[in-house]
Formats: sequence, structure tokens, C-alpha cells
Amino acid sequence: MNHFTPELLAPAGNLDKLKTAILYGADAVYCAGQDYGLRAAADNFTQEELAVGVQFAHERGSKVYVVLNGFLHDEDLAGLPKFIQFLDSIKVDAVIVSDPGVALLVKEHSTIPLHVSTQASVLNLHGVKAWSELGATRVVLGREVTVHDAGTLQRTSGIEMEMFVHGAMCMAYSGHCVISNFTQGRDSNRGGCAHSCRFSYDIKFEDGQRESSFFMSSKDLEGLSVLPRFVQEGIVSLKVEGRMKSELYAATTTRVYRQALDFWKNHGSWENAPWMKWQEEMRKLPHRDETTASLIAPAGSDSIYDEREHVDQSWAMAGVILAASSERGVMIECRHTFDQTSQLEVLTFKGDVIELPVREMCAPDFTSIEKTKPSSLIRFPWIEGLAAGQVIRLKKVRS
Amino acid sequence: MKSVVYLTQASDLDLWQRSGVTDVILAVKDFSRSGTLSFEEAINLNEKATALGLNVSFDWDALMEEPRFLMLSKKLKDHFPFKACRVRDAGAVVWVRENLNCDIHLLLESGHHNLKAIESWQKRLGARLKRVALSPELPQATIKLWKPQLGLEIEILGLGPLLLFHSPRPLLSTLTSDKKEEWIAEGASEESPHKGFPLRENSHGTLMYHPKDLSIIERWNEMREVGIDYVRFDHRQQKSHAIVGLLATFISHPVESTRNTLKENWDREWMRGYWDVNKSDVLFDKLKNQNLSHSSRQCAVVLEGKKDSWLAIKVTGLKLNPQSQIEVMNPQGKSKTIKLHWLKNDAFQNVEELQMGEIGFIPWISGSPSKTKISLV
Ligand code: SF4
Repeated sequence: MNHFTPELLAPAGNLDKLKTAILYGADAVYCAGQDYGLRAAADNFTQEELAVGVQFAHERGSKVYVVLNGFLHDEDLAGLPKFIQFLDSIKVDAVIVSDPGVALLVKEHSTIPLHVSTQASVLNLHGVKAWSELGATRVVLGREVTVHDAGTLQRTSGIEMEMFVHGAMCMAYSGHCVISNFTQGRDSNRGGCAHSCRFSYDIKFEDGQRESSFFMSSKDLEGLSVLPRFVQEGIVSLKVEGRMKSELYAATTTRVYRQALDFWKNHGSWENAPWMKWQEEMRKLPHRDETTASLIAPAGSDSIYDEREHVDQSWAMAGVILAASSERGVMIECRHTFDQTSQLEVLTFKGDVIELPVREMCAPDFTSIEKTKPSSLIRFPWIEGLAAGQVIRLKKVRS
Repeated sequence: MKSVVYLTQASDLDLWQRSGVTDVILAVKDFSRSGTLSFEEAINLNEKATALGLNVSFDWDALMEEPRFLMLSKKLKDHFPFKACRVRDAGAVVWVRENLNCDIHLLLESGHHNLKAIESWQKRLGARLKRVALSPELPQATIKLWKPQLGLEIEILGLGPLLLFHSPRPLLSTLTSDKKEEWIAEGASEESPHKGFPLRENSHGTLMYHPKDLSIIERWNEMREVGIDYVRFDHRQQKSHAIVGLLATFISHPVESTRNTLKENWDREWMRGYWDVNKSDVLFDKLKNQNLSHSSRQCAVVLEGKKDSWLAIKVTGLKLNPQSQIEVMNPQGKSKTIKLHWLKNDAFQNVEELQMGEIGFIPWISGSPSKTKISLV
């Protein structure tokens, strides 16, 4: 018997990551064109890539949402109607907006469903109503809303609720931080955030007390342990943050959350769910300390990271399988150096990881090699279970 | 051009009225991020100010999650004697429209940088919408362009603290064991030269302001020319209440000498922000290596090469054949054009075509490392 299961919505910073997320089981992905999204430094998608991405997703039963969530100035709107019409023509499944002006343009120029970005900081029932008046069918709630309140908002409003479940977090109410705008001349609400909240600050209190602290830096959101609540409240969509992150991140988060949601879907209960195994898999990704932030109760002081940014990384991305067949063997695009002493694991799309013994490696022209270089291609002998698109991780050796 | 100030105590009323102030804002702790008044105090001040002929608006600029929103909005429904409500949160705007009879002053200081966004509110609020407080990120030329099209009163912050950051989380109180209602501090970022960010934490969370206060009042005539109807002054973070007298003098005589006196006695330095021009998106191109960004003619990308032998490529767009004329552009932006004479698939066998998504090989081209773009000519 199938039980209600939230949609798993994964980040897609570029076409490769879109494919990775979908192959690993994302029900939907969100991505941006070259403009209008909030990640000016991300690769983002050309129109051709968007069309290919939508086709790839639809062929596999997944959806594509395109973010148009900047706070745009008049001059930014000039090309937008054309872009919206293009998105409509390639049948994207929704656009995600935070600016009411953009919402009006989407409605005027297309029939694309409208989702409201977390950037709009929708926090209450009347906020949901304000956006439904503009035609929104889904709201990505502000990260300050608890899962319980989100459930109530969804039931009361009849509008779909989407919530962030995993990843890095803005310390501010989304859309309410303009530090970069006024200190670096970069509009954070048009994709130019300089992450000033991650810096150390010397704080001097009124009474003269002094502290040095990363007091504005947030721990990362961890919602895996909260999945039963999301399910119980019937939250329609669970979103993973991280369009700028690697394919290893896209593969790992999607794979683990997919396994957990499928467990619920198939069992209708969390009894005997392998939480430890899922958590261990997630811990193999580089991450800051984690918090459930406001998912259960309003985030408190224990949600502050208060550390300089550093990568706590026990595993790294070794590469991605570009082609795999029993006749032609396996071709891997390497992202890291490894050799016969290295411990490699292939993240399969379903089921357990496969240990990949490093034995006979060849260059693309079939000359034998001992050690890989980042950004190189290698050939491996065929192993059952390997497929194009799978991501390979490498256990890092501490020197 | 009229002046709007924050009324924090009854003893200032006469002074404000005599200086020519027409509008006062009452900021109540529960509803206003920098509010200091209780609701009862606000009701009392409202009566007094109204009796003097001043227009009073109630400030609701706080953001509220549903439980708090429900609890506090009830209070307003029971008794709301104020002429106008200043609202920021979209939910609060809709609630005020449905539950109160007052004028609505929209605080559009977060976003709403395009006319269409404001129109979306005009359509829904109709005649109830009297005034918009515009974003300090809008340059004067934009406001001038909008003024005749808007048909609304326009307010901007003329002088006062510029809020940079608002988090609902308690970021200051965690650093000290003191228990109080409000924590006040100053922060210096390790990113020199930004020092002296005013910081506050209260029941709305943590607020950080720009080290310099925003001041457009040196451009008094320009403000008038672009069509500003209301100039707002916010003196509430000034240490000495005596500043009220100097501010009132300036408001009654907005000339260079009164402005200079005000500036000399103001605790913080002044800055003009984006009043002249806003180019906060021009650096974006530099955030990305444009030589790596995609173009519509792009058909492949180089994965790896073996000197004098081959380049491994991934086809990302239009298909390639052994006769294709291509242009390669490396990540440093250097380009060259060549004609292919062979094409191999991922098994290193000659083929007549490579399709999108396929891996293949082309002849070696010097200076074409990984990530080099290949376009059809
Ligand atoms: S600086 Fe930090 S809090 Fe501000 S927008 Fe960027 S990530 Fe968010």
C-alpha cells in the first residue's frame, strides 16, 4: 500500500547536477536560467540546457521548477516576458517567484503554475492569502515556520506548502538582509550575496563587555530526523538547498532522502527504519554543524555555528561515471587523484553502495595508468551495477 | 514636502507641531521592530497628537509567524483608533485590509524595486492604499519616473538608521549572561573597513544597521523635484534626546545652517546610499568566469587532452561531425578556429556523428585544457 509521501525537491545548479538529482530519485528539481535567479556565481542554465533538462526530467516522471526569485528592478524586467513565454513553451512545471511584479508578469504571459519563494518570507496565513490572490498555488514558507504550523497553514489555506529540509541557511529572514548591497555594492536580492554573515565580528556591548564571535553564522539545516513530522503534517514538498554544491552533494542528499521517503511510502510506518545508516551516509558529505533550526520550535542560540568556515570532509568526490556497459567497460571523469591504495565507493541509484576496487585503470586511449589526475578521464573494467551518471566517492586519507 | 517623525514621548508633541511636522508614527514594542511604546501609551499619544491636528500612523513593521500573528492581531481588532497603519509583511497588509478601516501606508523597503510590484498592491488595496514608503535602494531617477504613474503619496527615509539585517534569532543575548529586554552593541566585521555596525536584539530578534545613517536631506531640493511627498526622520537611536530640538529646527527651516548643526550633533556619520545611482548588479559578471559561460552556438566542452594526440570532449549542444568547423575558447578567453578531420566515440572508434550527451574524441588542439568551450562556426 502506498502512503502519502512528500515530493523530494532537489537543487540543480547546472544540467549535470539536474541529471544527477533525477537519476538518484528526485521527484522534482529547481534550477535557474542565466538571469533572474539568486545565484549570480552559479553556472545556471542556457535556454537550450533548460529545454534538455525539462525533457530529461519529464521522460523520467520528474518535474522542473525554474527560479525567478530576485527582487528585480524595472530594467531587469525588460526581457522577462519573453523568457517566461519560453519557459511556458518548454513546459516547465512551475516558476518560483518572490517579487509581486514578477508574479504578475508570469500570470500575464503564461499558464505556468506559480510558486512563492522562501525569499518572500511568507510566515502566516494572511501571507499565504496575499500570494494566492496573485495566483500562487504553492508557497515555500519562510524558514522560521515550524512543521506543525506549516501543516496548519496548508490545511487552512488549501495552498500547497513546501519547506526546506536540508542545507545551508540564511541567518536573516530571507529577503531581509542587504548587508552586501550596502557594504560591497552587490545586491544580495539579485544574487550577489557576499556571505558577510559568515565573518567574525568583534562585538562591543553598551556596558563595555567585548566578544569576538561568528554570531551571525547559522548551522546547516538537518531535517532527516524530522521527516516523520513532515509526513504527519502532510507537507507537500521537501526542498534540499544547494544549487552551488557538487554532484556528490546532489547524489548523496537525494539518495538518502529518497531512501527514507520510500521507506515510509512502502511501510506506512517508521518502525525499523535504518536512521543510523542514513545519518552516516549524510555525514560523509562536507558539512557545518547541523541544527533542526525552527522545524520543531523557533531556532535558538544553539543554532548559531560560531566557527570560521571550514570543511569537515572525510570523503571527497572521486568522479562521475560517464559511460558504462559490459561491452565497452566504464569511463569515469575524475575529480580527484586516486590510485590502487584508494578506497572508492559508487553511489548506486537504488540499493547499497558498491565498493570499487582500483585495479586496472587505463587512459581513454587504452594506455595503462597507475594514478589519476583531477579533470582526467579513465577507463575501468565493467562491474555489475555500474551505470552512467553514478557518482563515485573517495575516502580521504588523513596525512 | 511634509515631514514625518517618530513620536516617542508626549513632551515632544508641541515641538513637533510647532516645527511644521504633519505626521507622527507611533511604534509599539510588540508590532514595531524598534518600537518602545506600550499599546496603551500609543493610544494615549494618539489622542493627544490627533487633538493637535497631527496625522497619526501605527507602525506594524514586524514580521510574525502565525501563532504570534494570531495573538497580536486580535489586540488591534478590538481597538484601533489610529488614522493609518504602516505595514510591511504581506500577511499583515491583507489582514489590515480585511479587519481595520484605517488608511494603509505600505512599507516597501524590502524589494518592490519595480513599478509592477507596487501595482500589484494598488490593484488589491484600492483607495485604502494612501502612501508607499519606498526602498532606500531606489535611485532618484526611478522615483521621478514613477511619481506621475503611481498617484500615491511617496515617502522615503530622509535621515535615520539604515537596517541591513534582521534575524528572528537571539544572536546577542547568547553572548552574555545579562537578562534584559533589549541588548545594544556595536560590531566590527573582520572585513575591514566595515566597523561600528549598530546591533540590537529585542523580542523581534536581532537587527544590524549600517555604521552610517542614511541622509538624503542634503538633497532637499532634489527630493522635492522628484516628487517626494513625505520625508521621514528617525532620531530614535540618537543617544541624547536633545537632538529632537535640532531636528525640529531643521524641519522648520531646512537650510544649510540648520542642517549643518544637526549633522554636527548627530551621533553617526551620514551617507547617501543609492540616491544618485544604483549599480549593485554590475559586479555580477565578475562573479563568474564569462569565458566558461555557455553560448547558444556551444556544442561541446573539453574534458581532457593528450598532447599531440586527442582531446576528450562531451557534447553539450548541437551535434558534431568529422567535417565540422569549430571554434575553441579556453578558460582564459583565448580562441582559435579549426576544421575537424576525424571524430571518435567513447570506445575510440571512428564515427560520423556525436550526439548531445555523448563522450567522444577530436584531434588535439594546443592550449585547450579542461573546460574549454567548443562552438560550431
Ligand atoms: S549575508 Fe548571510 S544572512 Fe545575509 S543574505 Fe547572505 S547568507 Fe543571508
